Amino acid sequence: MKTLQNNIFLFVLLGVTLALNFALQRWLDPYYYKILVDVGIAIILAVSLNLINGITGQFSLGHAGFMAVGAYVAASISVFLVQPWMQGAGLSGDTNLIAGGILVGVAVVVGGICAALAGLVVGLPTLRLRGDYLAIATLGFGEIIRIVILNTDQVGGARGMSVFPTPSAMGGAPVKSSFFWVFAWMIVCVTIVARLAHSVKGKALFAIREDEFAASTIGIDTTRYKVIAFLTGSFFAGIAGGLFAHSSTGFITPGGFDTQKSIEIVVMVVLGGLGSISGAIIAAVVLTIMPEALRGFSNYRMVVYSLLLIIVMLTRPQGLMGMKELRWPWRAKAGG
Amino acid sequence: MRQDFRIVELFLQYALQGLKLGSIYALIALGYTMVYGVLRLINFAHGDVFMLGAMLSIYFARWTKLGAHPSWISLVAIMAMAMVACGLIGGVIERVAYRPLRNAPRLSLLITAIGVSLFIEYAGQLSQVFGATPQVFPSLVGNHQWTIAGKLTISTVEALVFVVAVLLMLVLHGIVHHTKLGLAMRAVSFNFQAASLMGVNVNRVISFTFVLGSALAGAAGVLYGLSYHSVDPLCGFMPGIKAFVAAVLGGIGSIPGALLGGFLLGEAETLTAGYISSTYKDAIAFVILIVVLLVKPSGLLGKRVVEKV
Amino acid sequence: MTMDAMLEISDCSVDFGGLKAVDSLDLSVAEGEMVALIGPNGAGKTTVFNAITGVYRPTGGAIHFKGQSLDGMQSYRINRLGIARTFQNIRLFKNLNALDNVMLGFNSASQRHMIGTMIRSPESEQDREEIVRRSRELLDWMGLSAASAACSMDLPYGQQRRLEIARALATQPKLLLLDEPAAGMNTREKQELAGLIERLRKEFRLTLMVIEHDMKMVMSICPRIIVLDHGRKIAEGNPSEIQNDQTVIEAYLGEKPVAAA
Ligand SMILES: Nc1ncnc2c1ncn2[C@@H]1O[C@H](COP(=O)(O)OP(=O)(O)OP(=O)(O)O)[C@@H](O)[C@H]1O
Ligand SMILES: [Mg+2]
Repeated sequence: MKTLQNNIFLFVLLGVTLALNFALQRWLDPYYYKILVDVGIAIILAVSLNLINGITGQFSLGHAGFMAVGAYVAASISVFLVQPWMQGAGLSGDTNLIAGGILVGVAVVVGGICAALAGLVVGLPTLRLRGDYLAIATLGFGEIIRIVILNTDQVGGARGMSVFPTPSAMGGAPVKSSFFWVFAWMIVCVTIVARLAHSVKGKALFAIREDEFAASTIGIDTTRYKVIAFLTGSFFAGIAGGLFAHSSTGFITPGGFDTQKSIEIVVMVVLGGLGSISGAIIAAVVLTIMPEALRGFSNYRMVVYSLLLIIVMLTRPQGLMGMKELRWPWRAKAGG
Repeated sequence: MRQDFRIVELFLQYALQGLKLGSIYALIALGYTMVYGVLRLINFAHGDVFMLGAMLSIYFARWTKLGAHPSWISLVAIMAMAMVACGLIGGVIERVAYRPLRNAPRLSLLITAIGVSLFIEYAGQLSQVFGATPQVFPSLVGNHQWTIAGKLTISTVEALVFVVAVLLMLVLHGIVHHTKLGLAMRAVSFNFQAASLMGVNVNRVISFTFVLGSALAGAAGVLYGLSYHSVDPLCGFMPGIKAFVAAVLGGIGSIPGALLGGFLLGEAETLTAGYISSTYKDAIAFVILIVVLLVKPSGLLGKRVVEKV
Repeated sequence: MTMDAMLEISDCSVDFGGLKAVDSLDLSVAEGEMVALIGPNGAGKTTVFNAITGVYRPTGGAIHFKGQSLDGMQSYRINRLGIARTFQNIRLFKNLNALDNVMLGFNSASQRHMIGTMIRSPESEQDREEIVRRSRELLDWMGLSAASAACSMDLPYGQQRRLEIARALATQPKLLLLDEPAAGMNTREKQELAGLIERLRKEFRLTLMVIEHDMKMVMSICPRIIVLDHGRKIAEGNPSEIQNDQTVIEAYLGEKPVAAA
């Protein structure tokens, strides 16, 4: 009962998201709706990477690889299992929003789990590596994942994979990652990462980042915590991937999950402040909306990113927020 | 019998290709290894300096009109220009982006390096700079095909790439082991603090290391252009990362190690491309990297260091 | 082998590529004892601590704690057996506040699972409160209650040293290893620290090993002193024995004069 009370805020938030979903689908311009969904996905990516890079201090450059695993697994489930089944049963994603939504939800979760497993595979051997070696090794793993997908014809190889069948084949609009699913996952992701990082046990993640070796001499099993960070982080990267595969165009290519994508997420985490969850959220929002607002200057986007990165490191290496967090004003004292 | 002979021939032909690719990796790896030695930094931008070497050469050849007259002199002149230009660029990058962070956490330095790398790549793609489309690299020297044995052929460029790589490595070896600056470099990479306490001008040594390493990358850029004919602003990223893998494989901080690692990686890639699949070529480097880091993190020729607590 | 030895180091060596930082060292510490480890710079004192706490693997010999071999054991396990330490070059979690630093010491003692904290179960909230209470208690003990919310990096040097001790104590050690706890302190602070260490020892029933360069402090608080030089044990005894030991005097004179406060 008490547990329920402690989480009431969370349920209210999810409820609001659901209500908003119907309102937005009805009244919001599809273009802005798409941007909103992109923002939600970017937040999941940035916050989950922040758990690994910022909070635990294990600088990973392979986040897009885990995202790719989630995207391709979820997409494959949709294309090879869910859609044939729905068609066979005479259902269409249009008329059965709930059923369709749940099936996509399952696909996304399985994608997340597979990404987490990939995170485990990457995490275990690379845990001994530090700093820049880890960065290169994770970059390598991300590339390996991408190259493997590139060479898997069943999912389209370099040509990419279309998650949504043509409307005629499905008889109606296909099921997409709706605002609700994306933001519900975002809320779950932020909550889990925040509670993990600021719990009695989870503070160990910060300790590892600050001084891994001192942490181990006060009884902290650093390997275990690093695995937890990698597992959780890559799980949510996978979720983000699955949501992405089911969003807007519903078309994914291995090229969309390359090192540049990983670096884009890193930029969000670094600009927001390594270790600050609210910083990562703000940066994810700004860096997703900014290029949209500056459409005409899209060539300059990455140039601006890179300059920002350098300037921030030279003038304010702690990023926008440092390690500080914005809190809900009424909880500022509670320290939750 | 005849069949066996073909197999051997094919293998040797691949091996020669590997040697060419490996020489280029080796030259880039030298820069990584030296910079890592003095700063403990993976200079992410190093691969992009290499790209600039190739890219700028195209413009140098155009401006000087040397591209139109392939000769050994054109080659030497363009390569010298590329090396000087890259050396300067490397020095400037160090001065502007890395030096202010000398006492910052290493992570800040790494992120800055990533920033510099991105900047060069994307600024380079702007139409006002190089543009995003690949450009043709001029053939600066007449390219002969020699038949060595049976069907085995080697071209001028292939031989050239290998010879230049080895020569430059010897020069570098000489500098590091027989000059005062080289001695200072070794002192700094052995112990940063102690070196500065003993009166070594650490900043100067680090600048020098960047200039030297970047000049080698510039040379590698020219050789790359000669070998693969097409250059674009993103063409430095992967070779850069792979050269780093080569440096790790050979043992980071070790000059012969960089060379060895470069050659081995070049061979591994061409043989993978030849016998397995060219799409897996890019993965092999990372597989090697991960295996090395797990099995022998100090690399083939590197020294093991115990972290001091 | 001493029967009631808590810590037993036998024939232990640590090599660093040719350099024998610790050379066939035999050393034992009984429960409740307070032993000083002294020696000139580079004698290998810190390396002994590092070997005990699993930072460096000894290249030879064995270390037993309460009869259990520490061979190949990871640092965090060794800590959980009851050995905690501080560092010569303070290694706090710099960007965390003092309270967090101490609370992290309780990390392995906390019984709650991550899942519980994730859903904010009442048990996990209680667990947190309990750990906060005990951490504040420790901060009080070390005279740091006013500093609990301060970022540990911003604390004055002497307080940082004491905070490191508090963090070590939070792991509820039986054996506490202090590496130059008084370094950088003035005479008065040193005296206070000596008193504090003595009180901690009684209150927490600690067995202590202290590395210290300040001879006056060592002599005043440690009934038994072990002297290392070039990785070897060159003398062992009570303060007056050590003071008059010829080899000890030579070892120190060979290096630099003893920093007798
Ligand atoms: N990781 C390491 N790699 C190489 N040599 C090391 C390492 N750690 C310690 N040493 C060397 O071992 C020797 C003993 O060092 P140690 O730190 O144990 O000395 P110490 O007695 O604690 O000296 P001090 O009083 O200066 O703290 C020194 O010569 C030191 O340089
Ligand atoms: Mg010491």
